[in-house]
Amino acid sequence: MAEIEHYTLNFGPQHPAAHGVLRMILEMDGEVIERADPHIGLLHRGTEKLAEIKPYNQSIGYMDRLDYVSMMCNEHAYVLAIEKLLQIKVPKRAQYIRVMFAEVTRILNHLMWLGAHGLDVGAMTMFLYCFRDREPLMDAYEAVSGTRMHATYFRPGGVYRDLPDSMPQYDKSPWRNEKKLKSLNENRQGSLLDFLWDYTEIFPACVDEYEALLTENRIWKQRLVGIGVVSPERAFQLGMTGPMLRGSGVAWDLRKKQPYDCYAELDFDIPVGRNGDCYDRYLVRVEEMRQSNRIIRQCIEWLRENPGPVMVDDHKITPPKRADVRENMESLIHHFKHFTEGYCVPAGEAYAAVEHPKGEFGIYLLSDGANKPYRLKIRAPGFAHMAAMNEMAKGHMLADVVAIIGTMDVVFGEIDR
Amino acid sequence: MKKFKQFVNSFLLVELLKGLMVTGRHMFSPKVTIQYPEEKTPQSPRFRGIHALRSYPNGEERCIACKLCEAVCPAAAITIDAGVRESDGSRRTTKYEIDLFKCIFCGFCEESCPVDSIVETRVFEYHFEEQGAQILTKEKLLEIGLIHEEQLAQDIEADAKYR
Amino acid sequence: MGKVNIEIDGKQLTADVGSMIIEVADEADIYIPRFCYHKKLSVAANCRMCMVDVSSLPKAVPACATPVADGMVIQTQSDRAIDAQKSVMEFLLINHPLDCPVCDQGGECELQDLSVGYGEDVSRYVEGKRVVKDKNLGPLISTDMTRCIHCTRCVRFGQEVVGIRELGATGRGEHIEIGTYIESTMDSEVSANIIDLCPVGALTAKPSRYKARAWELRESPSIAPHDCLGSNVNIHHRRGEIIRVVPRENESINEVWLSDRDRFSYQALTEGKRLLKPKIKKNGTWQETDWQTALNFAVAEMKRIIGVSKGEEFGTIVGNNSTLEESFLIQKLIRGTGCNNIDFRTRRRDFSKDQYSGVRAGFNFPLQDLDTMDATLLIAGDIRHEQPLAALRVRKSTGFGRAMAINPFDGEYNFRLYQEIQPEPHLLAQEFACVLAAAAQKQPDKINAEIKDWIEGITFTEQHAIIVDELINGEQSCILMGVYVQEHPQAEVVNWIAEQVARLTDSKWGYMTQGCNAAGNKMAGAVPNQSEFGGRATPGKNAKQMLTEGLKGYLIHNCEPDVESLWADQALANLQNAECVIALTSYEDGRVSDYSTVMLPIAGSYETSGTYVNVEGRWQSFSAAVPAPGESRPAWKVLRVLGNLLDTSGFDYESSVQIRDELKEKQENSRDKKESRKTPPELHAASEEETKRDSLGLYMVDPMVRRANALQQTSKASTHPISISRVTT
Repeated sequence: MAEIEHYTLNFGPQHPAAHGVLRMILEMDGEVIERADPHIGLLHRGTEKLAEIKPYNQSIGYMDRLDYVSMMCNEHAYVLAIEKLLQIKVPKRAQYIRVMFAEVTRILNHLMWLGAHGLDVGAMTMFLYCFRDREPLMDAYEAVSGTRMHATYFRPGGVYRDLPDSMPQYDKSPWRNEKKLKSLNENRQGSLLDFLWDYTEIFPACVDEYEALLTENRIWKQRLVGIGVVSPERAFQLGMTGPMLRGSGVAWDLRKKQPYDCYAELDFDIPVGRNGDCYDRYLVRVEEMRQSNRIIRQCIEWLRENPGPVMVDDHKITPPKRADVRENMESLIHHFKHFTEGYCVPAGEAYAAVEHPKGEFGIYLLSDGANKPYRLKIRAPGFAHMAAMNEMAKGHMLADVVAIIGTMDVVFGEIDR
Repeated sequence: MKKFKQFVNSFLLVELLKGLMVTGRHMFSPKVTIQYPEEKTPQSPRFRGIHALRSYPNGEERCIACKLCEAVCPAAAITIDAGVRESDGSRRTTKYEIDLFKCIFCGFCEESCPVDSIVETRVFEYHFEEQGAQILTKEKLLEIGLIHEEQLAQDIEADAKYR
Repeated sequence: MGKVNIEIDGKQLTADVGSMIIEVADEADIYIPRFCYHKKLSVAANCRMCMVDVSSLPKAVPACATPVADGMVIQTQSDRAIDAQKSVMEFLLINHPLDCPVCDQGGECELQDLSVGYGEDVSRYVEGKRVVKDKNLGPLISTDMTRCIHCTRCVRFGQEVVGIRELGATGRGEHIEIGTYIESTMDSEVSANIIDLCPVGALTAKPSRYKARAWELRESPSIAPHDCLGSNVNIHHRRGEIIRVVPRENESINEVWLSDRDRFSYQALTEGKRLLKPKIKKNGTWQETDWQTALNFAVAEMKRIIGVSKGEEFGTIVGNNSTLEESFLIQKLIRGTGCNNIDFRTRRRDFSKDQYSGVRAGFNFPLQDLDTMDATLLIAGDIRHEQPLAALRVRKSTGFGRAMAINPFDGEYNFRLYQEIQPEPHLLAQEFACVLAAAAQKQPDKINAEIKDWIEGITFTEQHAIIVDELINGEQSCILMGVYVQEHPQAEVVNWIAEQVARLTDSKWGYMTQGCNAAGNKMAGAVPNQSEFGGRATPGKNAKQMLTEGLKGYLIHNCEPDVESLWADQALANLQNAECVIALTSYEDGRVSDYSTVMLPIAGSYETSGTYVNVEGRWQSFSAAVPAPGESRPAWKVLRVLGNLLDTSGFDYESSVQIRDELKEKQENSRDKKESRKTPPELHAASEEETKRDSLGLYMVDPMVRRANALQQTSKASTHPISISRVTT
């Protein structure tokens, strides 16, 4: 019989299951993957270099655009790094707001992941349900920051503005009568906190629905169980973090291990997997959504009780109050300087990492004492995960590659930066 | 016993039927979709849509060409030329342009404006039909400002206590 | 001077006795905030911002007014110092208007910087603020006096540095105001330096008002092209447009100052009517064309005229402000075609020394030494208006030394003259010869037979003797000749006398020159008798001959002989009658479009790279700060192409740096060639007609300044600084 060469398949970058612009060169023996070689860089925008030429605050918006499905979590790491260098303590309320939105973001991210993963594997309906449930969270984003995605909401020293007291409401339309309109606006009668509280009441039931559709489903299990197994030791060696690591059974979570902001004061559990396969990682993420829901509820309760400032009251770093700018000289000067030059950060280096929905997202900042970073390095969790692609895919079928990409939860904004 | 239960469940397609029940239930529940464009999702006063330059009620433009927005713009989307206005010697822009292809809608320009001149409206539906149309000139911006002035004033008022 | 040991912020320092804390701190790179202190001005200690904590004293003290003492332990960051600084800042901001957004200083404002760096971040002041009426200081400086924090830097500048007290403070306490006492504009030739001095936005530049923010500007170093000092400047430009010109610190030339002429002349480049495309005049109308056509046309005309007349009927006039490289190329080009008529000295009557070769810059001593002269003898000229910054230096020396003048005209001096002689203009050399006679008598052992013969029969008065005494007794003394001397028909006689007097009295001597690159033009060989660095050349016609005799063809580069030459009327007529005038010019307005046949657009100053050689012989190279507008090109490139089209060899330069390096090498090889004079010149009376002074005004010296709008609106532009001799009228 003639020697049959391995067949080389080009996967992506336009493949719908490639989650953006992943291009893989797959060397296959029949339908079995011999080697998977991911190529990155198609979404490279030079975020790290761009940050070096503009004042600290101006790069916040660029952080949103790294992992563009978990916007505020990226911002979170960035502002924490700056705060570390500035050695400032953020007001408690701002910490709670940040944590609440970090968890909102985690749910947003996991819902996005679940919908897309389901779709990749063949569960079409999941996508619809997930997107339905993302919608109120997007509204919450919009209510605080003014945009549904690229929020630019976290600032060094706190957050942009306090949570609004009222929610915007649906307008009348020919499609709905008074009664229907009223029911549509029912959860929008109170403040943003009431709106989110309402959501947290409903959300666990939604997660139950997802689980009813997937967890026991034989097709889902056939596609995920035993696929892309990573042992805990290997997971460590490969630099995996987040659900990828926890799915292998390692209880590592920065929110517990190195609590930042107010996580130390909150009560939540860290779900871990057992087998380190795609199915376990699915279970971990679903449970994380439930835990996030718990955290959000605790934050809402605290925030309702404790009004207060949401920004450090040091206008050398944060912009002064609007009303003051019109009336007193110091505030005007500080406003002017804040928005033109920004503030100078003491020379030094800092690394701040957050438990991002995808894993450990870190910002390494090197300051030479100027008003812009000397160097900014982004530690993107997806990058390390992507490096494990070959190991995870080897020996599996072609169709399993899609499941593995899905389980990695890759987003090219952060990998390519 | 566990194995037997598993076999029965599996044989009777229990988990599939459970899933189908979920989808079946949704067939009869009210739809969550919004009938765009007759209906739109609500927008908060902080919404960051297309830009506008506001004017005072007497028609005088607010902008004083301080260039804070130009300085703070991370994407360098704003270009301003300033000079002395012939008629009264005041400081005014002679050119104010926003390139919407560059703009990242971060809202810093609005935040930095000391006179609430450059603002972001609630308008997010727009398109360009020819090259160069994405550059909003001063005239266009002022015009957008005039059209939406009422809404803009309301929004600024509504959010004033948080700023 | 004794030394003391002090400690600032834990740093052990040694300082001169009598120096102030702030000076020592500045030296050691320890920053102490300040508003009123300026290293070039006297100590006023009225802003109180520089409060520091001296451990031996019970209260915080101003660092600018506290002399160091041995063992002093100074802290600039202690609670007491910070507390004092914060309080001062709060007081300063009480009456400051909320102008930042509309203030031109915003972004480069010392008040803003120190408020953020040393002040509180919120105000406690809610009462009303004071308002001060703005003063009209003329077309150069715009005022917003409400913003003034009364540091009095501007007042001290006028009083101490310029010597003209134009600004002063009236009232006290909250009613203090800076102003001109009676309504008047600021007219000094260095007035705009107060814009740089003003730490806030009270005094800002009018021509660039509201144009740009500091953070938008890019900075390119360059050299100012209007006087022979070669002041160092920084060009601030944005998107290829010059917004302003500011001084670049150079202690040996312009210190930290800049004359108004150098500061605002850029307006000609941005607002003047620039020639953007090559133009050819056909049947009396101008037609825009491309470079190739225009150059071919120019070359054909040059070849025709030079060919027919064997080079006799073609003349080249080079502008005073041409760079070294341009002058070198143009002389090489014109000599390559077989024509020898080239000159840049459109304001010279005495060509008697042309037969000798040699290159000498105006000064044989550093400009900086003017500061420390015990005796300075000024011969003619109007130093304040010709070289405003040199006048500041002479003024500095009069603090302890004495300045004297032999000036046929009424001089405006910003310093006191110890002796002044006012001869009739045509007898300037005779008057100066009396000084030589006096010097010869005082120093009999230094004179030789030649001088003895020469001064035979010249008598001198008591005043001449006093002048000579001063020159001899001064540890450092100098004889400084103004631009007018070089325009005098007996320039070489005066120069020779100066040299001899200097030798006898052991003084330095030097002459000021017209334009910024007279020395460079001469070095480059843009004179009829010699090529670069005194190289041999077939003699040709000089500027006077070319402009007064009338030739068939002219090549004029970067000048307007019809305005700036001494024979303006004749020059105009001859240019108009010429068959062909090829003009390399940056501007198309003026009479250049009237008499020229083809206009080639060249880049203006700051738009081209090159080298200026200043009056000390200092080579200062610069590169282009902004691109030239339209199709105009740097002149050296145009000349390079012209050279190639004229089939002259050696025009393969790729950059102006290459040309400069070649010239530098040539200079080194020609070092030993000294200017030599065989016999002393003859002393004879000059004609009264020829010595009438028709000086170019302060703001008329070159095509660029003439087109700077703001300068033309000043009071100095409308009047000729000096035109009449008191003696002759």
